[in-house]
Amino acid sequence: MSLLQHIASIVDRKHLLARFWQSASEFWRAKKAWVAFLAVFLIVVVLLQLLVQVLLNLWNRSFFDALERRDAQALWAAAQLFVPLVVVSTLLAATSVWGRMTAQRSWREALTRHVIDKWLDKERFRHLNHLVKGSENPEYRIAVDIRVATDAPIDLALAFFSSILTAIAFFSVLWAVGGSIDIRIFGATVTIPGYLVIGVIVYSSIMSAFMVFFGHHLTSVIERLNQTEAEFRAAADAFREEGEHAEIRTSDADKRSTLRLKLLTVLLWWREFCWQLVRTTLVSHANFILAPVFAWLLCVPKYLSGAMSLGELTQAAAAFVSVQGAFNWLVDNYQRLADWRSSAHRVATLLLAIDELEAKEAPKGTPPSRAR
Amino acid sequence: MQRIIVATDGSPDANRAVDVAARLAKATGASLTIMTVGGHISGAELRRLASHDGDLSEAMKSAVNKILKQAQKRAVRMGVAAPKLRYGWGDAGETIIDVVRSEKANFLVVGRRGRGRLTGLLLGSVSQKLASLAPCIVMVVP
Repeated sequence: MSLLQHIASIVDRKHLLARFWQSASEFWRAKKAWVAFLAVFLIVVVLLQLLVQVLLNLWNRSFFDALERRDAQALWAAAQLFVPLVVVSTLLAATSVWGRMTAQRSWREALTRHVIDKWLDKERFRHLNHLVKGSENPEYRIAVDIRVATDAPIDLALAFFSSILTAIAFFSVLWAVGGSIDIRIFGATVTIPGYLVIGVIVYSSIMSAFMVFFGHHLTSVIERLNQTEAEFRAAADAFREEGEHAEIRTSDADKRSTLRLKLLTVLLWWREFCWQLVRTTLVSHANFILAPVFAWLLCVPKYLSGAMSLGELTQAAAAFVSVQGAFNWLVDNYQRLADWRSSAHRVATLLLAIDELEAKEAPKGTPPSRAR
Repeated sequence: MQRIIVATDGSPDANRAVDVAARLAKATGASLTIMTVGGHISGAELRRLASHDGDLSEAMKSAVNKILKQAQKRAVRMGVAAPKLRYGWGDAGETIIDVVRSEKANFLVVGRRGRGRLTGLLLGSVSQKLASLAPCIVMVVP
């Protein structure tokens, strides 16, 4: 593929996403009180969850400090404080699920109704397959792709928002608890301020670099896998429809050959997907084991020198893991991002096909109605 | 009328099999069908297609066409007037047997090339599978 074709494909993808967003954003632009309430509600829940996370981090410190002092009274107080924290955290998690799924359901309903209206209007569903390319399997696009395309953005956006706030909040914890450290190099003493913050940035950068190196093809491979799965379904559907319209017939051998080719493309992308997952698992699993230990190791010199209590050590380690987890947003959501992109592309392709048909329906001299 | 099928993947071993099948067809006046099974795409090629938005089906079809055209040229050079071309997708052994059955072939010619040392050791080569399962005479060209 030439560079020009490559650029054209990128422009094409952007065009598809723009078309998807044009219809999908209607729900959020509707200025209905219910939609505004949902958006604010979800943001407030994220903020409250972060607050509880910070309180749990502080609780961690007081609990382990009490443990180090063998202070039974303080331990009992910490245990009592833990109960409401767990209750609030659990309630917030459940509330978050309700909020997210309610928003997803409402958005899905709005977009599905919009596409169904356009698809059924003037019996376009009858002409779409024969007249416009790129509209294969519209039922699947309406039933499944719209669901995926409206589910993922809410989860991804909230996770992203939460990750940024978590990183900011726990950066300050790391800065305050970790403080500075003195290192002796060639007889000279060098003071590194906020060394845990620097540590988490360096560690996360290394892990992210590894992940990008090992898994940089993952999103495009998932996207291609989803696309070929859809093409496989569309090919089988097309043959079924042929059976219902006896005037058009493909030979059995050609049908078999086409379906085998489609299956083969699915299996080849699946094989590549498997290898991409194997590669990224090497990094993610190593990170899962290394991150907390690395945090402890960074804190050990200050703990051994007496400059850090056991509670501060566990608090810093937990904050380190939280920040590191926040940095991993992209890596953790690679697969969902790719699933969303391919579903949004397929919904957009259907919308563009309907737009094209709509333009053909308009009498000469009349500008086609603006795509909604 | 005798029908000979030769299966090729474009490798040197398969080219020798095409030559042998063409000579045999010419000498006996049998019809010759050249077939190949597509789908052998490396991970590197897949990743290249993924990052450049390439079409995998088209890439496989074009690879299959290239192999068949090359084999056809060889057969024509050996004196076979118009060899028939067939292709299939997926498991090589099963697809070749399907074509042998649908073409009602009397004779199948294949190269000895295995799937690689380890895979060949674990699963056996395509030629071994064909020699035991094909419903016709099988000639394995070394």
